[in-house]
Amino acid sequence: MEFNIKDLLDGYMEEEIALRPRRSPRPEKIEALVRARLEGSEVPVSRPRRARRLLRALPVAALLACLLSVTAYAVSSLLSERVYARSASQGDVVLNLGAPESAEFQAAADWERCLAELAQAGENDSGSASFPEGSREALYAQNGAFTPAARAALDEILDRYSLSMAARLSRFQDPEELYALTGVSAFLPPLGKPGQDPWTGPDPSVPGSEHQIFKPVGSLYEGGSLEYSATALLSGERTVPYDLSLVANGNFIKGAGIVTRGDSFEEWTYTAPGGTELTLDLGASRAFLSAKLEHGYVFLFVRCGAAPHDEDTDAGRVAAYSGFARLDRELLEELAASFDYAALDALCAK
Amino acid sequence: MEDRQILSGLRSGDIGALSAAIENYTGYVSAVIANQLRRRGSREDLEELTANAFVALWESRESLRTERLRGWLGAVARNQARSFLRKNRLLTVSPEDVLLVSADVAEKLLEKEEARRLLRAAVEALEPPDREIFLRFYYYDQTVPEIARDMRLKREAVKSRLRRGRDKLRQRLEEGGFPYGV
Repeated sequence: MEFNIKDLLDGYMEEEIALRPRRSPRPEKIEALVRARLEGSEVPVSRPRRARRLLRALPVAALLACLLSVTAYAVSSLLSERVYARSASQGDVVLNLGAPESAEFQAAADWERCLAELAQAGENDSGSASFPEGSREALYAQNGAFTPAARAALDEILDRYSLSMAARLSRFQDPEELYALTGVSAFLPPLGKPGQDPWTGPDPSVPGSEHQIFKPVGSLYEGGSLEYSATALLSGERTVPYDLSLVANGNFIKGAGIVTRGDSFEEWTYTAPGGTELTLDLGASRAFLSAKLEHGYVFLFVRCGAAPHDEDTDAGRVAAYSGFARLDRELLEELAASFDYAALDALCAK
Repeated sequence: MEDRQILSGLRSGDIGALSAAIENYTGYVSAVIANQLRRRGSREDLEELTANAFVALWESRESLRTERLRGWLGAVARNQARSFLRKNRLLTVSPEDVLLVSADVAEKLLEKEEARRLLRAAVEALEPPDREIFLRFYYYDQTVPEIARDMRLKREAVKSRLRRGRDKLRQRLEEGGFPYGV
């Protein structure tokens, strides 16, 4: 028989330990919500700024506030061109959108730097901002601009690179929803083995649990741009978690900074079965895959690398249980081969 | 406003006391919830759950027996966050969270409440640094790197003290007829 220590601490009253505030809302906001609840009325909560999964890889404002002194980079080759900031503790920060020389990438990088400056100056506080669905303000908010000053700054960047903001059309979880939305049949690798794989189903190490570490989530944008955090089932019943970013030429969607943790990367090119040439980068704790398509650019952030998982993370602990050990060149190439790039390109061409 | 005044005000139905509680404890309550949610909840989830803890405080005002406002709010906030995760099937269970007990001991425990009582007594008996590390890890859901940062310790020191705390806990529980292993 087993007991969960955390369950056994339910109801425990701890009085002494000082907790560092995390993402703390303002007391006035909470009071407004409480009063509304007690009076039976509605007060809008903050709007979600973007897909949850990408927030995981986006400590940009916090990072850039103290990290903008870019000097030498630990990464090399094409990946080094994606670096737009550097963290003393987490290594280079790469941006996930577009080819490095492209307007899409440059605009996204400029906007991330701008957001950091706005945050430092306190000029982009979302506060209790709420905008009608489909409004222009909502479109700015989707990209992280909540105030007139932030909107003006984003407009300036969009003008500079001749790009248009792409509105989010839909959020989805299951790839089948995505295929139904796009009208394009399966173009992503299978997620995993529902109900068996620890990434996608109950954790077999904890009988009876409903543990699901990795919940797929994605957004489809007008113009065909796409973000999706999912898993790919590869040979040997190994599962790899990844974040896919597909940006259509001429589109602007908000990027995400990915810290490289000081990894060194082995970079090589690989030609997928359909003929698409990809750049693959394999580091100790992360891997990347990128390809220029005719109508867009696809970038994959793979959440594991050549070294064993960091067992300080939920994913690492579960990965250790699942038997998944590490990526190698062969496995990364297998992952690269499992996407249908012609179909991804077709999304951007619509 | 002091806790004593807030509790007194709440019991007499003073809405101003609730405002004072919100002013004093929004940071703490939201930190408790954010630690539980991690990346599994949005900003609006955090706000709603934080507000829920204060709504619960108001709705419980007449039956509120505790004098420990911070502890009460922390327990409610933690419980609400864990319920939210459970409801959305996002509650994770790590191997080190689980106590395995033999069937005969389990029989003796009979009620989960008894296991809870024994565990809490064992936690209270830990030396202060080990107790703080244990509670930060198991109660507040902080990671080893976060504990190391907040307590100004090296990660390895946190890990070894956590291990030591668990060993002491096991020793204590075994003395009380409650062996466990992972």
